[in-house]
Amino acid sequence: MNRALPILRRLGTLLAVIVLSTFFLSCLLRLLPTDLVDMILTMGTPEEKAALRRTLYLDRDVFTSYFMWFKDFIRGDMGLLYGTGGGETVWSHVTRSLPISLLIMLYTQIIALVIAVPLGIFTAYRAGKKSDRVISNTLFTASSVPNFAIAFLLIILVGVKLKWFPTLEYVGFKDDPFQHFKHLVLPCVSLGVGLAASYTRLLRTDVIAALKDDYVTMAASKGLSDSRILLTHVFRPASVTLLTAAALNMGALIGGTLVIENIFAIPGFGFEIAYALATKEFVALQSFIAITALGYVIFNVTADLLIGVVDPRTRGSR
Amino acid sequence: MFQRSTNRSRVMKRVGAGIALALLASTVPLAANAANTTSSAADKPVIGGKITVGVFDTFPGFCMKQILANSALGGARSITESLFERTSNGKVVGFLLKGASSSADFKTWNLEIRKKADGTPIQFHDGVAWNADALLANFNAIRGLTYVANISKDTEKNFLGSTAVAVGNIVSTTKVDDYNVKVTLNSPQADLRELMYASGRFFMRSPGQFADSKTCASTLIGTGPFKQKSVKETQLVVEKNKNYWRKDAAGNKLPYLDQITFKYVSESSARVNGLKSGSLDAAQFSSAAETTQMKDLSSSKAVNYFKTGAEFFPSLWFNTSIAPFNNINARKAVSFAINRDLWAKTRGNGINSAATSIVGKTNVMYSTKNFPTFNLAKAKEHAALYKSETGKDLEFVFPSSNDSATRANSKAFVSQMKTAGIKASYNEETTSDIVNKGFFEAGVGLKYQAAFLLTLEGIDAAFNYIFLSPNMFEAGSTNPMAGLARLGKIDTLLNITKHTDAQLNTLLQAARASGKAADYKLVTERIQEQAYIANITYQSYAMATTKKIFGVGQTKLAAGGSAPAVFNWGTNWTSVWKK
Amino acid sequence: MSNNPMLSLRNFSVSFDTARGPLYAVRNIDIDVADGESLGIVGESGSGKTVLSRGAMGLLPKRAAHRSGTVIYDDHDLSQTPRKELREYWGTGMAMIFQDPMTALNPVRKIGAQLTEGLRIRLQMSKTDANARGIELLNRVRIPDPAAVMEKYPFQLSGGMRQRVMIAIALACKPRLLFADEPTTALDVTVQAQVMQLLSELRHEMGMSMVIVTHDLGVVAGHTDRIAVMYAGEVVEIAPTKQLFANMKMPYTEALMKSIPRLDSPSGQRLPVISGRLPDPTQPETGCSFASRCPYVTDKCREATPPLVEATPGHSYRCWFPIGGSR
Repeated sequence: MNRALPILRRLGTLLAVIVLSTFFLSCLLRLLPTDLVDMILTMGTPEEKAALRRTLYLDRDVFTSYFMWFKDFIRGDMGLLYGTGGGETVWSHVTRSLPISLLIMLYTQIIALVIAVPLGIFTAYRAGKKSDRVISNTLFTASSVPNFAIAFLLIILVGVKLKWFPTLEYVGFKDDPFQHFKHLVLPCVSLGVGLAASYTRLLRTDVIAALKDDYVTMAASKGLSDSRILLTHVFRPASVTLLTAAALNMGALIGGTLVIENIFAIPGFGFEIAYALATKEFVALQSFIAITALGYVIFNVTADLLIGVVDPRTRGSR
Repeated sequence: MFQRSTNRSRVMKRVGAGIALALLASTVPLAANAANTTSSAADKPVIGGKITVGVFDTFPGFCMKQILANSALGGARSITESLFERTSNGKVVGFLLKGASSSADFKTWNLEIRKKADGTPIQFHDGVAWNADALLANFNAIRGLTYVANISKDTEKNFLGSTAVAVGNIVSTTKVDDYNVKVTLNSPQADLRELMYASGRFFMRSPGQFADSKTCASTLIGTGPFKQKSVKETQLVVEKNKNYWRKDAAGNKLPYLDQITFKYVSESSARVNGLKSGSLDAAQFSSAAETTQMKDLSSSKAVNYFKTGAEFFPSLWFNTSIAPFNNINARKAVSFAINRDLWAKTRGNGINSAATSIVGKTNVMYSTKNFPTFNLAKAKEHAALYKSETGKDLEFVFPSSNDSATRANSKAFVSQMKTAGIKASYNEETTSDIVNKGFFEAGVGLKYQAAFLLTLEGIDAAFNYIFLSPNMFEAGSTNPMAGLARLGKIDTLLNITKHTDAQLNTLLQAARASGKAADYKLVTERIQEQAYIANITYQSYAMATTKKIFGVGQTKLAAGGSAPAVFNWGTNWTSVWKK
Repeated sequence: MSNNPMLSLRNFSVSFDTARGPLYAVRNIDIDVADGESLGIVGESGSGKTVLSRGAMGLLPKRAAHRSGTVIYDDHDLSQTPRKELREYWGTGMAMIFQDPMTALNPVRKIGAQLTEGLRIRLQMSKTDANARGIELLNRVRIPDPAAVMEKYPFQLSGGMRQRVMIAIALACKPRLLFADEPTTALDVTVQAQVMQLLSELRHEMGMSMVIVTHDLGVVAGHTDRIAVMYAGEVVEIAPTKQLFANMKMPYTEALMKSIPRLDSPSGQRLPVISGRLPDPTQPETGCSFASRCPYVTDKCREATPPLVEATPGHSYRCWFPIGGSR
């Protein structure tokens, strides 16, 4: 029971966050200047509008309608997209777009970490020297450029002038693995550069601190090689912050994909959100945002769990 | 039935596009199909290949209810074909129809259906024959009768689209024999052919599509060179129709390409970069908001560039039923205050040309007489007259759709009005709201005093007529849809300016009856004299392709002549091949 | 036991680059550690003793610390050896235990892993052998239930246990010279005695030389053969332990002695402290470095630097006016 309690508490917090954010959103929907049903069925008869109102639970009070919506939501019934005449379900859009965005976020994190880990350790090792300063300054500049600006730069330089990578489209892994990765290079690098910069700095700070720690000297005094010391003694404790940052960034990446997917015409979840916004699909938006909130919470919890794995000192308090 | 969002109806999108597009002008001389392309040499066409075309509209569906916006229509037109086509010389010729002949009074028409060279019928992709029965099925769907027939069992109401209003003049269609159909009209209409060209929107679907509204919307079956392979809102994929009924001059089967993917890429720069990087083989652009990109591409050595003539006329429509524009001086004041040449220089990037009439130079209705060209003195004079007549200063509010390009244009318009002492201001609304609640909300009242809409287009007057005529279903019309219209069940998007001008009405009827340019010009002159509409610029569309694409503009039409390289809806891909 | 000293420092100095200029932490040390000997190095914080021990072993960061002079370990001159080769001597030749076992052990790795790491990598032992040896070592340092402790993390052990673990780790590869840098400072008094006792036992058992660096004379009193007193980077007195206590010469050593709290001192009495501060190590002055704080200071002390003088064999001191001598 003791071990289950903290997990239950965690789940409870999770639930509370999701419920609060989506409830807030549904309240907002009711405050719209135009009645939602009027917007969807502009030319409908009163009976049709009443029917739609019932379907959308807008004939009840705020709490009941929210509760009904929530019940549907967890069953996967997220309503319809009314722009195309109510022929498509929101769920179908979610299932075909969310995996794409998740893949993009995953690749972005990998790229960012692949860049950041060696650079972070290297600049920590050479802290204060010229190579450190050059790299750190370059990264700082890169991180202050917004990701869509980097995207445009890359499109023009790498896509148009050099023609190394395609600048549009998404190709599924099953369809053509080589093209799949080739098409995702520019989008993921655009998103990953900023991340890499911040990860490098985090890691650099932690590694510098770790290098000063006595246990590094102790490990050295055992006669171990530098690389072994770096990897097993320095990197692991230093990576705790990095891991936290990476997991928390997953939430922020959801927003990043919104812009990038539109630039690269990738039919991912961010694209769906942007499109729903533009076409006033409020019913769909409610579910999209709920999913995003869910994503944030899940990533946060995962971050906590991961840290528990890596740093046993924090396990006691779980 | 209109949907609430702009992409959903032909008129909507013209309207929506119009609001975004309407405020551009430039002084580029009109040149139909100007292009800086490399001429396709006598290269032998490569059979096969796949291309991707970038478009700026989505694919909401294929039934009558979901009417496709311009660049999405291009995708549909690779699958379906229309009754008439337009040659690059501007003539309207029969395509799926061999011809149309009429009685002397233009009230009765005979449509003759084209067969294949060997006398067998052309076939739809599902094997159904293209014959009189198919034509009738299409007419019934377009006119809304299928809706009426299905109304009890199919509550989706997917059959009713706004093209119903365009054919309101048709009273009955009857089969004469397997390849001939008789059409009777309520009022004489000389340009029925042009009406059935309708900027390429009257494409023929297989009768099998009309059985069910859901499949009608999701599956497009036509007679065209390509078949629908897959569709979602942001992408249409079509594949070669191996049984296409036409061959090229050398006798080879058409089309050459194996597959085309029409991809929705909303960002203009993404389309440009996609072209240059090779991710796209072709991309379409509209000079509404993409003049910068068009200018860049027109001088780029990396692409082939094709442009339509300046045949699209976004206009400022005045609501003449309420103040201030129920007063002619108010309308004239605004019209004279628009500095079109300045607009062309500052906002048109050299692509859009200043308007000299409510329609373009190549339109049959074109006339510069009575058109209020820029004249600040006269603008102020009319504003003063307005004030003396009503005691009020001239001010009005117009809606502006909430994207940055339109906003910039709205601001520019407001400042031009200010120079003439007219106070104009705008409210930002979504394009769909503007259209839905502006002029067309039945029973609620007319909200806007004026609005920018893109409804007039092309070189003929047939489709423009419906926006100028006060009645779609004339009194006594026996069109079954008329009854529904009277019940307010369908929108009759007509008479945007809500005028009650009997003289204009007479002129309209006469012009339609005779079809003569001279009569149409009288219509224009009356409209311009009354200043019901104010234009700023003309617009065009462009298609750019990579250097590996050949054959654009070389599709020969069944009746002779070539199709233009690019229309408002894109390009005819029949004779296009990729190296 | 051979006759050659295990470790021999000649003219050994260490300076650091700081913003204010070079900082002379260790100045011209000559010192020997005989094979099997236990040498104590005593001095207050800032005297340079830690720098000396780390510098001798070669653990100081190369960039920041500049060493000069010679360090001869087992007939090898280590002062010129590149780090890569130097590493070969660490663990198996020279080893060090550190002041704070909480920070000297990797907090996120199990005890067992840290203990067997050296065995597996330096001695190429197999996993099972290393584990067995690890348990053996833990037993040797008197840790109860060693098998369980192997699976624990440092934060789960008490301070004393951690220090024993550190000793076990340092001794795992059987080094011949052990540096103990303030081995008991982080522990409380009762544990201190146990750990020092343990260290002495292990030293005798393994025939190891040991250098104990501390500020606490009491710690080294019963466990060293010789004691060197350091002040301001220099050795100011060095003598066999008993001699030092019985017959100290340097006023500083006397002051240190006096400041050791004794159980039998009357309660309420103020602890004698040495007033003043260490001289600024970036600006070495002429004269005796202790001059500013010496209760017996004269003008000569301030003007001339006293050399290291050998009073009796094995007993050297650096003072113009040693205790017990003429003023």
